[in-house]
Amino acid sequence: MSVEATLPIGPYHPALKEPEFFKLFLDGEKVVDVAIRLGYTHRGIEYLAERKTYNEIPFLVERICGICSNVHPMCFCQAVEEAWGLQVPDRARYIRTIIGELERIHSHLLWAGVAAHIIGYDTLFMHFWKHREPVCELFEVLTGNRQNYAMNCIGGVRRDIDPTKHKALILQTLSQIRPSLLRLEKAVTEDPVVRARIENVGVLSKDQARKLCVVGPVARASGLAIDVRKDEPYAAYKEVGVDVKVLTEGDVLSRMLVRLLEALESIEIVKRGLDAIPPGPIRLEPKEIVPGDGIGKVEAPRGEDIHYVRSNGTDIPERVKIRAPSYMNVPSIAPQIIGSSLADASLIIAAVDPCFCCTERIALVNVKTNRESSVDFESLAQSWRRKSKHS
Amino acid sequence: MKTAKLRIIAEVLRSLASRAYTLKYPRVASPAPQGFRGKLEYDIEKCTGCAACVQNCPAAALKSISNGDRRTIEVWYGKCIYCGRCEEVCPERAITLTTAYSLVTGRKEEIKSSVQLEINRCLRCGKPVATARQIDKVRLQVKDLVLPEDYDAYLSSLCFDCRKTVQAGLLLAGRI
Amino acid sequence: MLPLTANSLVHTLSNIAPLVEKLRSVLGDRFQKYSTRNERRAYVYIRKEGIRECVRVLFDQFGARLSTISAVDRNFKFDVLYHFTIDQDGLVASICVSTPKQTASLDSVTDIVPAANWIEREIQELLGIKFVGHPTPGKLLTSDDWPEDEYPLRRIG
Repeated sequence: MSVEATLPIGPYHPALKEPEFFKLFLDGEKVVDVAIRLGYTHRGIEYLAERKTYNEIPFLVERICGICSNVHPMCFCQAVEEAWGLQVPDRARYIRTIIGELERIHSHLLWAGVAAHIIGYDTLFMHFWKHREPVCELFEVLTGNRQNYAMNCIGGVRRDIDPTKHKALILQTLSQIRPSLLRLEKAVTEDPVVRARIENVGVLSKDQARKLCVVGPVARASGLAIDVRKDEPYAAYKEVGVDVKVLTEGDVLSRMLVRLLEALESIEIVKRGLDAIPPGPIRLEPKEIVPGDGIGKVEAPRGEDIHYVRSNGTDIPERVKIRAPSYMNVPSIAPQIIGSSLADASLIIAAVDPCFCCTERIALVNVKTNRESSVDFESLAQSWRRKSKHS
Repeated sequence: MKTAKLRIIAEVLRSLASRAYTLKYPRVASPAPQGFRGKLEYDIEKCTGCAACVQNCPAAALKSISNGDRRTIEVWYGKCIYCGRCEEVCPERAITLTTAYSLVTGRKEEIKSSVQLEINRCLRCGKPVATARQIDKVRLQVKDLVLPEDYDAYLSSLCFDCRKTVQAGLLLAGRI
Repeated sequence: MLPLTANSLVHTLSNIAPLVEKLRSVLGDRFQKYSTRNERRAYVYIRKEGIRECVRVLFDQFGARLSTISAVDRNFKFDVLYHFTIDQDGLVASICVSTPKQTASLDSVTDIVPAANWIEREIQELLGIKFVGHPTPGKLLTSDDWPEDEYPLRRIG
C-alpha cells in the first residue's frame, strides 16, 4: 500500500461522527506504535454538574452519551440515593432493570452494525440496524423518546410501565427480534471469511486486561469474569439474576460473541423482570439532603460506569466525579494494535466499542521514511475487502 | 461458507417480502406515538403564573418576565430539552408536552411561545403583588378555612407590608 | 473483632476485616482510620506517604481492580480517593489521602497499576495535583491552547 504525503484533515470534520485521533506508527504494513489523542468532546460535564441542583443533573448527565443514555442518570441517582440513604421502591428497581437491559440490546446491535460496516460487510450492518429499530420504537412508546429517555430521577423512575398496554408491546418486540438475532449471529460465526479476519485479531491477554483494569465485554472476552450486575447487584438484578458470558480468547471474535450473547441474555432478563415486577409506587420524594459520600456503579453496555458524589447538605453537590467505561477500555487499544497489520487497525479500535467511535480519520506515520499521511476509513475498508478476497 | 451466505441471502429475501420500513415523510404523515415528549403547550385558562416551571427547567428554556402590570412566561423551543420537568411540577397541570415534533424553522430565535398574565397591584400602595389568578386561587383556598364574617376582600388584595400595617391598625383600634 | 474508631459502624463481615487488618499491619502509623456505610463501601483514611504500599497490597495481594480516582477541592487541601473494587465481594474500598493545596503532590502508582495512567493525568490537568513519577505526564483532555497553570475544576477563593 503506497503512502502518500497528503494534508491531514484533522479530528474535526463535517464527515466525522465523533472526533478522536489515532496516530499509527507503521513499518511497512505493520503497526509498531500508536498514540491516542483524546479530549475533543470534553464538555466540562463535571464542572457543570457542580453548579446545578440535584434534580437537574440527571438531565445533564443523560447527554454525556447518546447510546448509553440510561446508564449515566441511573448511576448518578444511585450515588445520590446512597449518599442520602434513600430506599428506592421495588417497582422502580424493576423498571430500571428493564429499561437498562433494553438499552443493552440496542447498544450491542448498534455496535455489531458498526463493526460489520468497518469490515466492509454493509449488508450485515443494515440488517443489524434494521432489527434495532423496533427497540428504538419501543423506547419511544415507553419513555417518550428514542434516546435520552429521562426515566430516572432521584428516588425512582418518572414513568410507569403500563401492564396492559406496554407489557404486551415489549414481549411482542422481543419475540420479533430474538430469532433475527440468532440468525445474524450465525451469519457471522459461520462465515469463514468474516471469522478468518476477526479471529485472533487484536488479542488482549488476561494479564494485560487485569493490569489495564478494563471493564465490560472487553474484560469478559479476555477471561475476566467481572460484571457489576453479578458482583454488586443494583436495581432488581439480585431478584432476576444474570448469566454472565465469559470467553477466554480475547480477540475481536470473542468480543463480538460476548456482546451478541449478552443481547440474547438481556431479552431473557427483560422477560423475567416483566413477570416478577411487583405493584406499588414508582418514586419517592427525598425528604432530606444528607451530607456524605455516595458511589453509584452500573454495568453499562460498555462496562462498569462509576459515579462518585459528595453532598454537603445544600441542594448543589460538592463534587460529582464521573468515570465512563470507555475511559478504561480505550488505553487497551495500544497493546492490541501493536504488531497487527494496518488493515486490522480500524477493526481493533472499533472492537473495544469506544464511546467515541471514530476510526474515520487515522494519521499514519511511516517510521522508515518519517512521512505522515492520513487515510480515511473507506480506503481502509477497501484494503480489508481486498485482503479478504485474496485469502 | 455456503450456509452463511445462504443465511444472509435468506435474510435479504425475507426483508424484500415484508413491507418497506421507511416512510416518504413529509409527503406521508408520521405521527409520534402517544406519550412522546414533544413541543410543550400552555393552557392559558389554567396557568396562574406561579413560575414553578421556570424554576425547575434544567435547561433554562423557560423565562418569567414581570414588569408592573404583566407577567410573561416564555418558552424558547430551541433550548428546550423536552424532558417534561415543567409538566411534572406545574401545580395547575397547565403544561402538557404534546406529540408535535416538527419544529423546523429558519431562525432559532423565532420559535418562542409565551403566555401573559395580568398582575394585580396593591389597592393601598400600588405595588405589584402577584398575578390576578394567583390571588384568586389563594382567596378561594383561604375562604374555606375562615368564617365568612372574618373574610375581608380588601385585606386579601393588599401587598404583604400594607396588610401588616392595616391589620395592626385594626388591632390597636380594637376592631379585631 | 477489630478495634474500631468512633465514627465507624460495627461489622463482622469477613471481606472488609482482613483487608483493613492487612493494611494496618503494612502501613503502621500511616494508617489513620476506617469507616463503612454499609457492607459494600469501605473508606480507609491513610497518610499520603503510604499510598504506594497500600495500592500494592490491594492490587497484587487482594486482586482488586482500580475503578477510578476522585479528587475533591476542599479549599485548603485536596481529598483524593482511590476507588478499588474487589469484584468477588462486590466491595468498593476507597483509600482516602489528603494533600495541601499549595504543594499538591502525590506519588504516582502507574508503575504498579498501569490503568492509573490516564486517570492521574486527568486529575493533574483538571485540578493541578502533581503525580510524582508519572511516566507520561501531559495534556489529555483540555485543548492545546488552554493555559498550563489554569485548572478548570479548582474552586476559586
